[in-house]
Amino acid sequence: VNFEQFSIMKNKGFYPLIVAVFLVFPLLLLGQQPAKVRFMPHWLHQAQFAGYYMASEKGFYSDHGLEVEILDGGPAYPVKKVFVEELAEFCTMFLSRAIELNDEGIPIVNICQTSQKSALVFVAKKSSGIEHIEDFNGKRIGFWRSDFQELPRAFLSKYDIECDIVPITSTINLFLSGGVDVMGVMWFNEYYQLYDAGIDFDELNSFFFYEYGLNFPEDGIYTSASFWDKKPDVCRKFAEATLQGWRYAFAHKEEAIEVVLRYQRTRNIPANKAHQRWMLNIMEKVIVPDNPDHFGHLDKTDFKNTEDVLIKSNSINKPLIYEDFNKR
Amino acid sequence: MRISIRDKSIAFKLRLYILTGLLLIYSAIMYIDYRISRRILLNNVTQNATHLALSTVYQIESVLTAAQKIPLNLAPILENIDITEPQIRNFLKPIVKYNSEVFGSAVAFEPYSFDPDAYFFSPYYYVHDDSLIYKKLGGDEYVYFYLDWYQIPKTLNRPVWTEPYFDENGGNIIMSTYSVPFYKTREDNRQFAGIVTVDIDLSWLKGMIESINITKTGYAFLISQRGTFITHPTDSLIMNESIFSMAEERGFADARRIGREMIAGKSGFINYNPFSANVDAWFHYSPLPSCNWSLGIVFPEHELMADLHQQFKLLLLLGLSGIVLLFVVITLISKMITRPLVQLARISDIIGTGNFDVTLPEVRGNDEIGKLNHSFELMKQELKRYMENLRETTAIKERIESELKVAHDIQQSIIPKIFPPFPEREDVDVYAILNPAREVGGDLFDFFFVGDKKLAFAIGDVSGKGVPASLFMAITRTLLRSKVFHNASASQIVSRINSDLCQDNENTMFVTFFLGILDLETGVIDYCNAGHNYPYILRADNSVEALDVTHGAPLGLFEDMNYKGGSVRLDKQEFIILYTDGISEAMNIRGELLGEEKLELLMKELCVYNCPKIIINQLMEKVNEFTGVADQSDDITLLVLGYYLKKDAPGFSCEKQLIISNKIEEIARVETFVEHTASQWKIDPETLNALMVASEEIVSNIINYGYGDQADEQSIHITMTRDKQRIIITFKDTGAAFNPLERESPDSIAKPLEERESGGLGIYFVKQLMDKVSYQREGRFNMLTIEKNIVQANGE
Repeated sequence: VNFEQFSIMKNKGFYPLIVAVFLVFPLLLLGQQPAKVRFMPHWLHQAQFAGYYMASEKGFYSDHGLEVEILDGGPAYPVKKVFVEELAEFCTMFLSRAIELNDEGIPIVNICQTSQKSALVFVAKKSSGIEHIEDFNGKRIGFWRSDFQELPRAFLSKYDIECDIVPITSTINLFLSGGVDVMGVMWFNEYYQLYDAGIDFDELNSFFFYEYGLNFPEDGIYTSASFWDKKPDVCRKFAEATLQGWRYAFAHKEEAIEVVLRYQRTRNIPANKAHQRWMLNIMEKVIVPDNPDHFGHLDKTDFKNTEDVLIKSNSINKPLIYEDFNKR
Repeated sequence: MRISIRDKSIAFKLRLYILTGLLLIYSAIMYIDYRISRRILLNNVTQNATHLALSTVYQIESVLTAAQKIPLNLAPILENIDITEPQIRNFLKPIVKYNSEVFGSAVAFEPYSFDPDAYFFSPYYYVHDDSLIYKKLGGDEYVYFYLDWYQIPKTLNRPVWTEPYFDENGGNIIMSTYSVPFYKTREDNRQFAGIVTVDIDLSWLKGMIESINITKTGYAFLISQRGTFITHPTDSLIMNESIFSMAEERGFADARRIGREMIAGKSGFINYNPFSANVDAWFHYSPLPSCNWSLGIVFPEHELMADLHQQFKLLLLLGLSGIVLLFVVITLISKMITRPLVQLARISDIIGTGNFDVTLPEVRGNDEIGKLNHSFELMKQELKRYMENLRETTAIKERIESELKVAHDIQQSIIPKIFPPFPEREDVDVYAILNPAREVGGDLFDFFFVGDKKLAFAIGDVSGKGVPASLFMAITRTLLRSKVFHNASASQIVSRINSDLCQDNENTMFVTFFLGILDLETGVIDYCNAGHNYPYILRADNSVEALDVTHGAPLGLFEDMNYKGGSVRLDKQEFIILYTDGISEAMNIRGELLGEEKLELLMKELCVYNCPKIIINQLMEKVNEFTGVADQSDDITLLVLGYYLKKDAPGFSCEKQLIISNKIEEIARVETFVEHTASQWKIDPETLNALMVASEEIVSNIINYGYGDQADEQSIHITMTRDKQRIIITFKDTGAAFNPLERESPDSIAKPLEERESGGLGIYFVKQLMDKVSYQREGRFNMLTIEKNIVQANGE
């Protein structure tokens, strides 16, 4: 070894170049273009999906060799349609809805369970005199008529509530105008909309599902079983980069909120900063688990509980195998 | 240096005090005016805001209520007749076509209630690209039963304005739908059958509310029944934010409360904008009753207050101009007041220098300044007159003084003043002084021979002082001279003088008087004391004897008074001392008198001297010591008579003086003087020789070294005195200060003569020869004194 030559190379910055070439070369050898995938959130753009935006924004996806297109979700794109028509490779939805879809013959798998805690809440105005669950009896209770019905129904049947169920499309106006006495809302969304419509929190009685033994994890990332079989690496990387995006969003909330607002404004979605800030804060409560190792994990017990509810309510015909459903 | 305000000029003080006071008053008025104007303005603004809000609300309401009538009128028709689809279209089409604010209109039926086979039935006309489009609402994607415009009025059983929403057919149009439920009665059962709607395009609201003219940057906005912005100058807020999210993001703490009041249909006016902490503004809100919306109006405070501030600025400008004007006026007035004062001050300085002819400034009017000027004129004239008087008085005084001086000289001339008076006589010597307290005095003394054998001497003290006393003294002295004749006794002479003085003595002046007549052969004194101080006799045995006899009242009091006399004998070398009460009653600054007792003690000290002049000089020294700096209060007269037997009389005098010039040739005169005087005083040859050598040496020293090369002629005074024990010679010269005693050094004696310091040897010999040598500098004089004790020839 000619030490003199070596030191010259080192001094001229030659060495780092060599290192760089050695690092990049294997990637070039593999010759992989970034994997192009599409992601469809299951609702209009909002802070509920901040982790995905930040993963894209901060380059976590491209760091993982992914080129992710974030599509506009919403009522026009029920998840069933997304998979049937293959509109996206990845999609979010409630755990319950995912189990139902499998039962309906659409094989999808959970590659990441972001939500660890149910954000479902029943709210009633204190002025209506509803203090306890049994007070629900005989009242008009509104909740969504679309994908999210099973869990509220499970709540009502668990407590043997006899009441009028009023299906609602999307707004809280019926509740505000007094058309229904109780309403099922999402903690991060409509719950705040009530506040934003001038109702103070202390004017409401709130019944958080997770406090009533009905902690159904909600948002998770899903892909079709066939895509999983084909490209499990891409799936894993998408899940990993997304969790990184969530971590970043919780650590940089104001930055994340600005990105969310940008998504909303460019698509003419009502953008309300205070609301998005609230939503992101609640998402943090919902997503960040007590046990740090469970970040993004689907707990088998939670899965079973949710499945049980669906079986009891005849929403599904037969149970699923956890291991077939949960892929990591 | 700190200058007190008291030192400032009147003009400054006037400006300071008046302008400060004025400024305070003006500020207070400005403040109060501002507060009142502000309150008035606030009232107006409140009224205007309310009015503005009400008229805006009315305008919106009129459109909305007009729109409301369409479905309200249609609903009963639908209830009462079984209607067909074309009929419904005929109803809906003109509604949309002829009502510009109506964007669309629908009749939506309950499932299967229009057509038992149709789940959805909802004919709908709406405007798209300026043309009317008909379509049937409903489908899997549009289940209208669960939408707000359908569900809420159905549930509430009453007409409802929906929350504003974006037009779903695209286009950035905000709409609100007025939905009226209608019912069908079947088998007496009135059942909900559907909803009649009109969709109102709300874009005209935005234009209308923007057109409300609220100052320059003021604005209005409209919120829905749940607080969402329907119009707002900031477009991004519309349909996105609510009054509550705004309160959350940038409002005051109670912004939310105000927002709740707004959606609760209340109205109010508050003096800040709860939804923006940035700009000071006022906020008015009032409801739109038909749809439960609320109108908010923001009035930026600075614009509302613009007129007030303009007025305030104008007032401020006027006030400041006024103050500046007042400043000028005060300056002018104070100048007007102080200019004559300054001139008067300057003129009084000139008057102070003695110039009374200066003219005073012309002052018109009879105000305080005029009066002051007048007083000044009077004062000037009075001063001038006074000064003239003073000048005259001074001239008179000076004349009197010069006359008094003459009188003094005359008085001095009538008393003997040549001493020694009888240089040819060896048996008697007299010395006397008279120091008047004023120019002229009332004391007198006199002495003269009466024949060859008798010497008359007298002393007197006239009552009072000054000119009258001096005149009386002159009379007394004249009388004395005229009444003394041979063989007359002292008492006879005194009696005669008395009787003469008493005649025509209308002022009853008197004189204490002592007359003595000394028989020079026997030494007996015949004397008469007319109320005078007792004389003292210094006896040869150094005792003092007071001649304490009075022979009657002072002269001039009792015409027929017959004075008796007395006699006393003087022995050889004895002295009689006469004095006036100026001695015995000499006073020091503490007001203490010398007194007879002290005087008698002093007399004892004088016994060592045997020369009348020395006795008097010593006595005066002692008396002056006592009085110190105190003024002489009375005339002082002293007369000392020394009586010597012929054979041992001290000579012509006990003091001889020689004045020589500073020439070396004069030394011969000194030798002659010392030798002659010593032979007169019967001094033994040895002493004489010593005195001569010493004198010669000293004088040559003074001439050679004291004056050096000094060319001009100076005098050297040599005084030779003697008393019972010694001869004293004093050399007084005006040469350079020089103490020869300090030059003398024992070493120099051993040196050869030519090497010795000049004068050193001489002084050494002088000290050897004399008993005492002393030197002192008195003023510009060197005083060198040598003393030589003498051996009494008569062996006493």
